[in-house]
Amino acid sequence: MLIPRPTRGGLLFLCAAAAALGTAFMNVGLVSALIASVISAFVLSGFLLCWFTAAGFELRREIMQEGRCLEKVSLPVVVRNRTFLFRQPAVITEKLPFCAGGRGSWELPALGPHQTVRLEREVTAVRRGHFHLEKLQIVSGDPCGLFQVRKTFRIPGEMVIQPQIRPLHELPSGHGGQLSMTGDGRPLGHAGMGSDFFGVRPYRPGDEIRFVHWRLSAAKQKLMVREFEASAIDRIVLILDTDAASVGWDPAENNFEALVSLAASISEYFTSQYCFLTLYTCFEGNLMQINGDAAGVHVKVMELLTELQPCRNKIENLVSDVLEFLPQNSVLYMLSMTASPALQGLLRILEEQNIQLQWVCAAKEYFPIVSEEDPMEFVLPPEDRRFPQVFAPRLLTCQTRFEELFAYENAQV
Amino acid sequence: MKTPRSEPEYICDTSRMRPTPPHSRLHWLFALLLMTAVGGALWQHGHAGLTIGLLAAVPFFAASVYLPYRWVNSLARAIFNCLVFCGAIGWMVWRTKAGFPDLILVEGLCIASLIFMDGGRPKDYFYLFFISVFLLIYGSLVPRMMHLYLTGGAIVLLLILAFASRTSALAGKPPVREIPSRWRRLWHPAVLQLILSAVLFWYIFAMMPLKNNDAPGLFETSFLTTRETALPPELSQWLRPKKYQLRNNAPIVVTAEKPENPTAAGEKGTPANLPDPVSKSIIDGSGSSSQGQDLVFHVKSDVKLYHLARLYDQYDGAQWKASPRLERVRIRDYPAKAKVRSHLAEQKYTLVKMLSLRLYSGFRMSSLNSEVSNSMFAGQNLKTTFYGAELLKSPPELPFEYKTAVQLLIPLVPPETHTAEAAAPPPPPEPKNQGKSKKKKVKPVRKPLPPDPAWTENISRQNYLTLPRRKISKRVMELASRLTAGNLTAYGKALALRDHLRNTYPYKLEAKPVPPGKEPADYFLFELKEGHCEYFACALAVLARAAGLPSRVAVGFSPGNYNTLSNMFEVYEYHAHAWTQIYIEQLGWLTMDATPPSAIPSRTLPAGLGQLRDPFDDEWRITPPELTEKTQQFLKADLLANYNKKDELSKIDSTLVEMVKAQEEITEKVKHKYEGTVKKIRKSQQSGTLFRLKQIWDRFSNYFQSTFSSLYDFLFSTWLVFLTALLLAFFGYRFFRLYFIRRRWISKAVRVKELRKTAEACSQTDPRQAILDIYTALRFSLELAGQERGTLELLDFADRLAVINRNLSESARVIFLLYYKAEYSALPLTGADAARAIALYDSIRYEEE
Repeated sequence: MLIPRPTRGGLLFLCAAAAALGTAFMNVGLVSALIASVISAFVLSGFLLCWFTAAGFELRREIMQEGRCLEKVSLPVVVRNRTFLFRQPAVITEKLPFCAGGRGSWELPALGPHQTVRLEREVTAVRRGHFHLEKLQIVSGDPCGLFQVRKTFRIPGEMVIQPQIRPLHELPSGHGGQLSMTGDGRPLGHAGMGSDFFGVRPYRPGDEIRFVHWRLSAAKQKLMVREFEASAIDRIVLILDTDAASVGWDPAENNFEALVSLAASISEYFTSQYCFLTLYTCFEGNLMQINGDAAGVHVKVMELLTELQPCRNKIENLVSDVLEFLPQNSVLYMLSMTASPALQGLLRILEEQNIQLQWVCAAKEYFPIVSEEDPMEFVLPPEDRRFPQVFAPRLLTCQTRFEELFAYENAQV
Repeated sequence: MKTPRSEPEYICDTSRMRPTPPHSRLHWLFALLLMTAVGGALWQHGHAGLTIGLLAAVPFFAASVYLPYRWVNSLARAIFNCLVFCGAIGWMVWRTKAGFPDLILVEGLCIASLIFMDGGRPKDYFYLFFISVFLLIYGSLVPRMMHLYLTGGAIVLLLILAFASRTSALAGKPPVREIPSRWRRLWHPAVLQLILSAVLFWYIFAMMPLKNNDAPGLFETSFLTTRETALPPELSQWLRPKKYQLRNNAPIVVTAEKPENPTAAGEKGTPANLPDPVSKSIIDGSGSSSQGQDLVFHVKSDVKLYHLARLYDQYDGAQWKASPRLERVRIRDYPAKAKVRSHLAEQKYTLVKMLSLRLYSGFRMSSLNSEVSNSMFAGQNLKTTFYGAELLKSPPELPFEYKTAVQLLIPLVPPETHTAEAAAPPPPPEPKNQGKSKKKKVKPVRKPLPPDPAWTENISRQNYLTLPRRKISKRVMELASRLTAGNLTAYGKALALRDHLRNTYPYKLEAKPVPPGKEPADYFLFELKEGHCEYFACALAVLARAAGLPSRVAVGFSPGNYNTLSNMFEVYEYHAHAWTQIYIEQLGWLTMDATPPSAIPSRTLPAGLGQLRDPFDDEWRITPPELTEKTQQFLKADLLANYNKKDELSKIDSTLVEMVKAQEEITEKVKHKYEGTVKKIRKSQQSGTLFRLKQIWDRFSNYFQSTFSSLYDFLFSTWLVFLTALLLAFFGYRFFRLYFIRRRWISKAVRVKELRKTAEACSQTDPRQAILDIYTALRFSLELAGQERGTLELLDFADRLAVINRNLSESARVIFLLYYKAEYSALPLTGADAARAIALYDSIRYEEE
């Protein structure tokens, strides 16, 4: 039922009308009577004119694309004026849990008779996750904006906000360029090392006899061997810290979100690298593991990262739980929010397993609350000399760009 | 190798900061609104220095929102706002000794409102809006011209802000980004609202009680809610600094000047013009109307009368004096056979400046009510005469209030200027001896005046007819005789004399004084031929007495300026005046002012609006104020009201019957007299095309008025019934529609369940029917969920469901395909198909749950 309700300004005018009328009736005077009459007249006219202003609209939701956190998301709708009258500008409002404030409002421009307009509602998403959208409201009212009428359209929809992915240029993947590439970017295999048939090539000294392709060799009158996919495939392990106690204070842009974004960026990067990716993290207190071909598991990784929230599980516990499962000769990307000595000790154990460590630490002190009125200030401490350089984490701050994070490493390589 | 960082590094990132605080594009309009509201609330009411300081400070505070954060960061702004708030508290504490807690609170609120001026946030603008509206309503309690002028501007600003921020108001939180309004397409709703508001304003304003009353304010605070005492100070006085001191725990005002003292005439440098009755009398030629600009007193009165200070009845050919007999006059009641009814009109005076010890009132004061007169020692402090009162001792504190009741007459027979038989004028007095005569002087025999039942004074009317025969010139007497010749009644004669003076002699403030040895009236009428009010008053009194009309000279103040905001008369020093009172049989003493009307200042305030709201108009300049239609209407209405209260119906019935009879007699006489003339005029006009067109138009407009006036009356009296019926019909329609919709919804939901059961039951025996049932159940379910197929193809409809949920879309597609197969295909369906359809349908329902 479209019952008019007063806006904040309308409520103020209502109270003012009541006060003015009370004043005028008790303190008889020309000026008080004038003011009371004017205010009451506008309140009454606003109330009368706001009826039916939200009727006659047709609203339809268009297909929405998935969005990324901290990026603009488009929520298009199509609005049609079913009447023969000119319509005043109205407001389309919707509860959007993924945007700041939890609610988005957009102005619907004035519509002519039977006019249809497509409204590209753009909003910046500040939260990750799967969100169910249910109701859209068209809010209209009198020309003064004293009273409003809301018409609700139950149009369900879904929105997925994935973590922000930032470009990464070069990431250490373990082999340091030892792999050879074919013309189409596929890594050349080492014969006998893998399981997937890749092709045949002439025999080279050192190849095993069991891989000789005898039939082709007879045909070509020279020894040919079977070649398989490079089994010296890069193994990338990603460990993501989800300790709620270490999460920063800003609800949208904190250290945890930065690490999630970094994990998503790393996963995105390795989709083009033909490597084996394993992700270890804690989700709702449970250890989660995703492994497989980087390109193949990227979707699952993104789904997990989309829903991932901090929980009560320290990074040291997580690392100690997965320590024994970490493959040798792999590259470990440790994304943590602390750099405690206990973690340092665990990482030293990893060094013995010939695991190449890439440690990124995003402490909450380096992610102050984002404010439009105050600068973001923090102090980077001097580097801890107690630990060897190799175990010193790369500090991720609110200012750090991901591509610079591993720049020194790449330069060194 | 990367060099480790050995020193801490301080990072300050300003990339996410706004350069300046946020502010609305209507920021300066809000500032203007605040200035208007502060001026309306405090101008001529609050502390002058604070008011002007606040008005100057608002633009600076408004401009501070443009200061970048790197100059003034948010902490500094917060500290500054705290200081302003503390300043407001400190000011309020300091002002407590001034009294008036409401004014102190409002001043503090005005200071604190500056805090919201530099915030720039949406809620700050809301607070500013709220404070401005509150200040405007508060300011309306103290009627001031400045507030009236500012109110218009404030209302326009409020409307502009309301219209411009419409979409933000509708959106609520968070505010939507404003798109500049395209007025080319938006002006008509705004104009429609303005027109509707104007109509409603007219309707609501007509219901406002604008009649004077003494009701206290709605809020029992210290502010002076009765309008009499809420008169704002003059601007010059308001700007003077006031110092307050506490004495006996009560604040008193200590000004730099001497406290107000009554000023008596004759003292050097004083603006007073009222002469000391002992030492001086008027019309020795030296007196003239004062041009002082100070407010003397203000009056709350329902009738517009002159304010009498003193009467003079004795003329010695050089000056007018108040005879000792006049001081001893007493009034008796009107006898029953007098064709008059008297009624009392109440007036409330507030003296602001004492020019003399007289207490002014309209003529004739019947009673006095003040702290002086009600005290035990009234007799020692007050001297009363039959027409007024005078303080005897030191003046009271100012402002001094007192109430009077003035006796006014309601003539049952309207005054006429002409009569068929004119009363024979009394013989003129003997001329002055031109030369020595040996003849014995013979005193003229005066005929005694006929008894007049309306005469209530205990002295003879002859007292007011006496002239110094040897001093009054012959030409003055002849002039009087010539002007009053003809069939004029006494009233007509008085008007003739008055109008002659008005129309013949110009007003001049700085007139020459009367030379010694000259008679003032003769000098004025025949030599000077211009003068101030005293000349006119003296001349009219002399001429009236010469014409046989009892007369006397009155001194006091003209009615003054009427302030429609406070509904009071404001009398200033420049309203000091002298006029004549002439006694007319059956009508009593009437105010006859021979001064040209244009020379009598009397404005209606405020300018422009005052003329629209003036309840008295200018009839008092032509007709004696006691006889104007407004005065008589008020007296009759008040008489009726009082009699109704007292249930004395018989008296009013007889009075009204007499009045109506008298009016009917007059109407008949006029009708009979002018009947012939009217016939001739009508005959001459009833011809020609123009006349016929005019007839048609008159008929149409009469019909239109009668039809729509009755319709308007009907609607006016039954609008509430119509509105209630309309609202009931609307809500009833919505309720029943909702009820039926809900009923339909429930029946559909029940049907869906039945179909599901039926499908499951016959899935093996009749898979085709099961699939059809499932399809129908799915369609119903989608309709209940608000997903109408409309004109879409089924598979397109299924594709569109992907917007909601992919699984739903896929499941629906499969069910629709099975439906197509069941409906149109010749291939047999199996139980597995039906089971699959049922399973898909259940999966959809399970997801919905």
